[in-house]
Amino acid sequence: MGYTRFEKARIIGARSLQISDGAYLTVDTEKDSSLEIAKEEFEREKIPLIAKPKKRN
Amino acid sequence: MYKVITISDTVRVPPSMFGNPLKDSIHSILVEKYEGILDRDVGLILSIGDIKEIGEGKVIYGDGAAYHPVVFDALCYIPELYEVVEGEVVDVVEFGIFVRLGPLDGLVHISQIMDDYVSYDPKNERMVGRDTGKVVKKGDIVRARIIAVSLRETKKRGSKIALTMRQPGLGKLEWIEEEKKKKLQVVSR
Repeated sequence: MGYTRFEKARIIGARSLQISDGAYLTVDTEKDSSLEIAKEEFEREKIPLIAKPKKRN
Repeated sequence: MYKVITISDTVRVPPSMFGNPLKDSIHSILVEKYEGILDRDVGLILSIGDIKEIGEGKVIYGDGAAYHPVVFDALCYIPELYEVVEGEVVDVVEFGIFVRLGPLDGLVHISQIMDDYVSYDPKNERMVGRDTGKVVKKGDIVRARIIAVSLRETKKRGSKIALTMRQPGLGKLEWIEEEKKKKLQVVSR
């Protein structure tokens, strides 16, 4: 996955917020912080989100 | 008149609903958001029908929810001016009778019930014509024409639909039948 650090931050941030709002998890984990879980999901490439750069005209 | 209209809107699907099928989630959100809403242009939204299109969801800053553009059908009822309607008399009060048009009620003012001097009979809760002896009571089926519509979007109770029964072919269904018979007799003579 060739995400930039900005995209990575955006994806993990959004996913972390979703997890804390009660979204289902894509990984089995012992962690209890939404940010940690989001990071783990990102490491395993299991986050159901994609970063799409805005099209420039 | 009942209508099926197509609406396009953006729906917020909260993260807690992510596990369920998307179409079901969006349907229940739309039902929550739209059903029972009274709009000046489309009337009263009764039911959400088919969801025709669900676009790609977007996650915006500061909110984990997915925003999906959707196109869907909705069943509406809008009382149209000068439309002829049929309905049951649901209430008789001093100043007129209330007729159920379906999802909404309309009022026939006492002066608009028939071509006669009409008086209210509080004991039997009915309207009586002085010269003709015609009677309107609760449960009667009447045909009427809509002569004024004022829809309040905030409150369903605040909406007013005024009806008239003082035109040829309008009134209680029995009266209309009688009128028809009379005309036939005149023709056969």
